[in-house]
Amino acid sequence: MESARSIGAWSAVLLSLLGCGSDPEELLLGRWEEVEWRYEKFDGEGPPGRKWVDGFRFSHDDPAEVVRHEAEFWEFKPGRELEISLRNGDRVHSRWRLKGRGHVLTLRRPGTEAVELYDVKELGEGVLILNYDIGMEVRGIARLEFRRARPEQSADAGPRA
Amino acid sequence: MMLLEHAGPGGRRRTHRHDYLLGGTTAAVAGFVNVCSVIAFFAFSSNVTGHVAIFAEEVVKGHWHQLSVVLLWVLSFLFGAFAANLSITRLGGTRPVVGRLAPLFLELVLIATVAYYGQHHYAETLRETEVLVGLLVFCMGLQNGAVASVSGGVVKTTHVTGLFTDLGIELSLVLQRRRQVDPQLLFKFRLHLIILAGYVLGGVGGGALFLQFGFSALYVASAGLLAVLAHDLVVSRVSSPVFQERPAGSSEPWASERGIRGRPEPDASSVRAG
Repeated sequence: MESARSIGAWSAVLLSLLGCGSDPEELLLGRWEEVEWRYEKFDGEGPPGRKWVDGFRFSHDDPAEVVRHEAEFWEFKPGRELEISLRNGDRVHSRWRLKGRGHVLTLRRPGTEAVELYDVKELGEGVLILNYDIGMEVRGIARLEFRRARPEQSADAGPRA
Repeated sequence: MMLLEHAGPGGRRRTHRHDYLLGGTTAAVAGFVNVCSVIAFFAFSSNVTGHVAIFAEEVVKGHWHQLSVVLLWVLSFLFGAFAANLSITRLGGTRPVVGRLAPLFLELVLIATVAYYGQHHYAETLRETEVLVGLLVFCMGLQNGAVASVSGGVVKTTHVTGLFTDLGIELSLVLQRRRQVDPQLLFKFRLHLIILAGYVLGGVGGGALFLQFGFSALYVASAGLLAVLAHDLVVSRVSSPVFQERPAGSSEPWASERGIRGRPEPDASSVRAG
């Protein structure tokens, strides 16, 4: 009986551990401004006068297709909806999920089977850093850094200086 | 003969065939569940070494949520092994069959529960993911604890690091001519190969079936455990004089079944620490 009580007590302690730390899903909600997209290994130099390096984003529908983007805003909404606002006014919609211990972000576009996988390197109140492994042909991992967007910011404002 | 026959003194003796069958089947279940967990949740269900390393990494980075989750998973495995051995030893005196079968039965039920929940209710929230992985990790602890307890530490089916270590040592010894005639060494070498083969085949099967059928594939793992339990329940009923439950307060030792070969006591090297 004593051992059963101690097992029950320890179980309650262990289960309460699940509540430690901020919930990653709660932290992720909101609007993020992409401030940097950088390759782990990039052979060229970035454009002069800019702090960030132009990057390329592969479309999962066609791995050979390259989509150049600038100053995107990512808005993670409740209900697992993600809206990416591009500078040209286009919007891309996906469904997001956090997996594992909160270290994997999956994005799935409606109507496709393709899934984008990002490694969540850092997630805090004001910073989000994702790693995206885009394959050996473009020399490895792309690093995406986001800052929490100000409410008045829009995609037309462009990247921060 | 029951696959979950206890190796210890005072009960029936296990044979090598006990260990081959038990190791192979439970290793296949472990591999199956592990791959399904990776595909579904991006987290291993039987990789305690990796979880401990990740825990250390998350401590250094100060990721409190992640380190608490990983700590919970590691402790779930520990608790599973603890619960399995508790069942076997506490019930070993009065209800030995129940004590030995209960951990695998609980594992079977929990895996089926994860399968059902994943199939019908899983909304892919992070909290659900963490709890479901924790349940699977607990199952692996139950399984590893149960088979290690009944086999005297000889069979461990979710401890791949130790498995490869032992295989390397045994291969080195087997290749030395003067060691080739050691039957105990050959037994362990074959056993570990069977466990490895079971784990890999289970993993391949789990991956293929999960990609095809989703969470319902986990019912196959439950079915594998059910086969082990059903076998032992049938055997225990057929060989009734030995598997009758010991009356409370009885000091009579268990009778040994005619024709069952005894097995050597496991040597100290076969019982790995942690």
